[in-house]
Order: sequence, then C-alpha cells, then structure tokens
Amino acid sequence: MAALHAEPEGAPLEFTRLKKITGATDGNLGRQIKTLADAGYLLIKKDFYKNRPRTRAFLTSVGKAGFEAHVAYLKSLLGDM
Amino acid sequence: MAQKSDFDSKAAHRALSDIEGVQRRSSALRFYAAAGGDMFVWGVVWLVANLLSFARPDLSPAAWITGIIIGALVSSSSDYRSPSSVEKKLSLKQSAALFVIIAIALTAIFTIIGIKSRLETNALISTLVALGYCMAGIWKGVRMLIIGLAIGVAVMIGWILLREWFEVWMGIVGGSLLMLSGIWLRKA
Repeated sequence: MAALHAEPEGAPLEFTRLKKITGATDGNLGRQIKTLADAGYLLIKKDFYKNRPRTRAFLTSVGKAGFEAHVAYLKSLLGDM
Repeated sequence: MAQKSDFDSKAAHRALSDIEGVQRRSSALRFYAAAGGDMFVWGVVWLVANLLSFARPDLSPAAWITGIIIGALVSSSSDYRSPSSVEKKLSLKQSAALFVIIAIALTAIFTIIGIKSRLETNALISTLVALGYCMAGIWKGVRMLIIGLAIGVAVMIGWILLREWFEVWMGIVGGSLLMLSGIWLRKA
C-alpha cells in the first residue's frame, strides 16, 4: 500500500517490482494482494506485455483514502496531529 | 494506561518508519528504471566519442557535439522508460534549460581555471559527471553513488597512469562502465 501510494499519479506497480520493494515471497505477496483486492483497496489487472504475462496492482480511491487515514492515525498516536 | 500509550506510540513509530522505508525503496527503484536507459546511451556516446577523438583528434569537437546532442535527445525521449514506471522526466523545455545552464557553467569553469587541452577538458568533464552521479546517489539511491565512485576512480586511474591513452581508456572502460551501470539500474 505504501509503495503504491508513493507512485506518481496513481500509477500501478508490477508484481515483480512489488516483490523487490517489499522483499516478500511470491506466495506471501500474492495472498496479501488478494486480501487487499478483496477489501477493495487494490485493483489487480493481468495482461500480456511484450509476449510476457504481467500482473499489475492499482491503488483504488478507497485504498488511497484508507491508507492516508491509517497514516494519519499512526501520526496521531505520536502526537504529530 | 500510560504503558499502553507508550506501547502504541512505539508501534506507531515503527509502522511509520516501515512505511517511509518502503516509499524510499520504491522511489529509488523508480528512479533506477528511468535512469538506466539514459545511462546506457551515454555509455555508447562515451565509447564512440572518446575512441574517435583518439583516432582522429581533428574530429574530436564534432564527435563530442554530435554525441552530446544525440544523448540529450534520447534522454529526453520516453522510449527508454520502464513499462511499469511513470517517473517524471524533464520536459523538452526543462532539458534545454538544463543543457544551457550546464554549458554556461562549464564554460565559466574552463575560463576561470584556464583549461585548454582536449585531454584536460575530457578529464574535468568526466570528473564532474562522476561527481554528479555521486550527488544523485546521496538523494536517489546507493547504486548511483557506487556508479559515480566507480567512474571517478576510472578517471583518476586513466589520468594518472595512462595519460597518453586516456581517451582509449575512458572510451572502453568509462563507456563500458556506464553501459553496464545502465543495465544494472534497469535490472534493479
């Protein structure tokens, strides 16, 4: 969520890139993405790019709002807000 | 209750640090993907322009001007972006402005220091490029810093030990270093 939120203009991230950023295994990341997609926070698109399968994750508006609320809550615990 | 509050703030601090770390890594990888292609192209420019300068010194200015124009045009195009990246590059107008500023700064430096020879000019610009990559590395990611240091070391070795073959050294070693660095960044 943090990686996707950092992308400019709500750009998607490929599964392979997310794996490198998070350091998670295929299975672990796949499960987390599915859970977040089921909750409506992410949108998953699977297609082919240059004859290779590609999985991309998009942060939805619900996900963006949820993530920002979560960060605001964490900051409030630190007394930043 | 005070203990719980302390635990909450510690957990919150840790969570915010994790988020910041992920966003920093994400930003670095996005930058690498965008910069890798450009670096490869500049490696080819260094290779060809340096070797041509060594073989035909009379063609050196033309080789470098042509190479720099080609490199700048390719850098400002979007063909070398990663398909998953939308890293904002400079617009054509910004690229042109940056090019003019760098040209003015280099002219001022050469005038003040009094550098006239082809090799001195080459060594100074190559050192400035290395310095630029090091500075970019401090803000954008450690790989750029490593590349800058490697180029700086290559320039120093060539200048101190292989002065007569400096352009051949910089073409083959410096150019290859940039091309391999470009591939390294793209694969990050």
